[in-house]
Amino acid sequence: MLRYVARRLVTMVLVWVGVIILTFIIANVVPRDPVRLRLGPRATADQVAALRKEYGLDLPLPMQFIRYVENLAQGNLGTSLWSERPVLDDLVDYVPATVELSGAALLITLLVGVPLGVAAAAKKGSALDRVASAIATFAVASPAFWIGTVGQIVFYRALGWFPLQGQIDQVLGPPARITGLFVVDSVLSGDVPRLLSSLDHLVLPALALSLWPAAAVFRQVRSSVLETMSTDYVRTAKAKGLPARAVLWGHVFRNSLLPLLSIFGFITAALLSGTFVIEVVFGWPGVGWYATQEILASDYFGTIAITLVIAVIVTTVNLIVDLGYSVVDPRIRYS
Amino acid sequence: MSRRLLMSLTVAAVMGLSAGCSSSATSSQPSGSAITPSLAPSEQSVAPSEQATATTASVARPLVVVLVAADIGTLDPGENWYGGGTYILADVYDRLFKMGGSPAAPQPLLAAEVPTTANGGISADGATYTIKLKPGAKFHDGTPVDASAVVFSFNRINSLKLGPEAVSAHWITKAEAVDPLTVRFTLSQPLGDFVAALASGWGGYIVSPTAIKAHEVAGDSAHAWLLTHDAGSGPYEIAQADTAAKQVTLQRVGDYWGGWSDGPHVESAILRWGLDSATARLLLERGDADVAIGLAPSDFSQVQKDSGIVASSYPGLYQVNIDFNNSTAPFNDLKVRQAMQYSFDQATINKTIYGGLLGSMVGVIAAGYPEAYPVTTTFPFNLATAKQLLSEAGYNASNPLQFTVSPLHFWGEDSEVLQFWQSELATIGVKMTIRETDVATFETAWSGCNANTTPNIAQAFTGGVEGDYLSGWDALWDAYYHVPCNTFYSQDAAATALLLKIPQLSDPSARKPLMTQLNQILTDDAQTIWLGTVPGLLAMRDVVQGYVYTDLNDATYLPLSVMSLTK
Repeated sequence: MLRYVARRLVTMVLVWVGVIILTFIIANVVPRDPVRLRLGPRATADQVAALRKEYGLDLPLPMQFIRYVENLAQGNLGTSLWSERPVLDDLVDYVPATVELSGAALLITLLVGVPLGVAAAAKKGSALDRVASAIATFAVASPAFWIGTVGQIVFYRALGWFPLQGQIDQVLGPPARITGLFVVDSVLSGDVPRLLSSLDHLVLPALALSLWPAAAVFRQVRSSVLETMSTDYVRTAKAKGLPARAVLWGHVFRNSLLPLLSIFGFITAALLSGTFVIEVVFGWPGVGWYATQEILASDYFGTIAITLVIAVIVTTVNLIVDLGYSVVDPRIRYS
Repeated sequence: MSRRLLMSLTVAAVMGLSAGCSSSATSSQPSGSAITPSLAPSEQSVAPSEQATATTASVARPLVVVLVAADIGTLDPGENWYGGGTYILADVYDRLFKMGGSPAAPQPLLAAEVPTTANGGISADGATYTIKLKPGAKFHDGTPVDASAVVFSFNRINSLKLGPEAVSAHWITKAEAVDPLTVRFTLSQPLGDFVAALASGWGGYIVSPTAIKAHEVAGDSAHAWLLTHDAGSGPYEIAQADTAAKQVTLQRVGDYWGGWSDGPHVESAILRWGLDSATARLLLERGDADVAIGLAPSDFSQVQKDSGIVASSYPGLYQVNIDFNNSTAPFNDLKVRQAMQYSFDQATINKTIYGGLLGSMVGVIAAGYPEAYPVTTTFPFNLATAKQLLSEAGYNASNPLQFTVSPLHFWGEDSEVLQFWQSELATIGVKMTIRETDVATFETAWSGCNANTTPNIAQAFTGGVEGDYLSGWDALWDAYYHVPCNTFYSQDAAATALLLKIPQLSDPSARKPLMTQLNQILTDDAQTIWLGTVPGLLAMRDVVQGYVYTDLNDATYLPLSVMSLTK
């Protein structure tokens, strides 16, 4: 097992290096000048040259890459041309918001998708099964930005139930920073008004972000449970007189977990990519929103850093998922 | 349904509903009658009076302003060159002068008086300006606004070289403090518009040297600190700057050196930017925003129907146009350029796409700029004339004119304008291809004078020009003079000579014939199609009082110090 983990870690690092190289190449192949974007169309050639030198952009590309990697090894992700701050400082500011949003969306995904999938499979053909399946099909087919915008129109404009944008009430402002997650920080500091405002602002974007993954989870769980329910050992369990609930949760559900675990990594990637759209629609100041600004500014420092962060998260989650197989199914052993 | 499943769903529902009891402002009901947009170009701006009277009737909640703008730039006044930035910086920092009155002219703010040759403020050769300061002005940190602070500020702008120095500071070869309340600027050449340049929304803000030196890190002139703080002397200060949330909170400075008039004031303001027009409109209609600036015409016309919203249109100075590359075929041919002018139905475009809100041009200068003197040349819409000119240029059915144009979306509705024009051109056999392009790539090539050598760069694009300050000459300078290439890749020796000579004159009567001649030359040369000026569209909830229009660069500059909320 340890040898397997070590081998996977080496592979992960190689993936990260590949991501850095590819993103660097792509960012520099596009014929845009981030310095000119920053200084404006009336900047003189001297001004452009001076700023380019300050950021090391006057060096040949291979030298720029080597310098970038050297700095990266020391934990220096460079300075953002857009925010004019160290990229690491930017990520410290923006990552918690994405963690909060993605975490809430994941929670909704699992709390809705899993039980509903089991229930729909257990009552296959019922009204619940049909309605849930129809909603899931609709959700899988609907783009996130559309869901988000419709949600704003219905729940903000028409009903006035939830706020339109942002992470917290603009007048209240953020809670005292402990973790950077507004809900958590509000709880830790006992700030009830900010806790309620944070939750209030979290509902719509989290729901919009979770709709597709929840639908995917629902369909996977339903399919997996249905398949498991038709196996011999389940028929045997029923024949032995076990209560239906015990058969469903004790035998069927546990044996249906493997496929769910398989798509968990996929869902994580989907949530992370979905945040790019949802954060822009809802003005949520997270990594997705930050990435949009960096890309528009043609700033490769920030772009590489964000791509790397996402690559680290996705590869780590996939490793956890693979290791989780052996927990869920004792027959699986890694060597 | 199993009990466990029910519990799971209930927990989820409770989680959602417990947060769902949001408090949204009540929405106002749309009325049946539209509010006519008002044009109020003549109202004088009101500066805070000298009376330092505390107000007891101000509403405690902040004024919420939403800006439909892509970005406001940074909060460092030595760097900011974005139009949106003036909404914040002009209330937080003071300049030596500000624009006011009707017709608009520089008025003293930190300065005690406007320098003239008569009062000795401008030297006989027009290259030296001696400006006296008002006594008693102070920065938010309590230090005095004196001559050394003014000198420091302009030297800082020049040393940073991040853009705004092009407005005024780069003309200054020497700034010196003659005495604590007198500054002398020696310019590289006579500049008749220098005082107007000092009143600009960019490049003239005075910063506290004490604050800058206290927060300077590694020789950055406190640049990093100023991204989220201020070193100003204005009636408001930055209480919080959250660039992630695209929001700045301004707080009234109770002991502002200029004093406060009796009555209620805006105690604090939250300015948010980067919102799209539809979102800004939603916030305004629901009461979650008090002021929306820059709504699209379609959203503006909708909020006009809301009885709780006062929607006003003011003359703007942002000139929108379709730029040609005049250095290569086909637009290096005057007849082709003239044909394009005659083929463009500006009146119909204004009416159908802009709701008639576009401001007019006087030749190549926006009406509203000083020194926009009439010209004799016009190009009334006439497709037959356009076709004739193209034929004379050698373009006909067997050799049709073809060109590409890229909408860069600096202004709304540019794609619709191009599509309309495309259909008109097609009727006279011209094939215009609209090619979407990446703005940054395009700008990199065009501004770097490489449009002719960079592949896939269109021969025309949609753009806009706004002078750095209220000067007809400056608006032309910005568009028609650049080295090594100007915006239109054109070269006209006579125009260039006039562009260089005019600023050296400060006497309006001496400038008039030259400005008239320059406007005529550039109009005749037809280097670009000017659509007109984008109006300042300002929508405010009726709880907002006191706004007055000022002929500033951006027509909807928000003078918070004279505004208030009724509830």
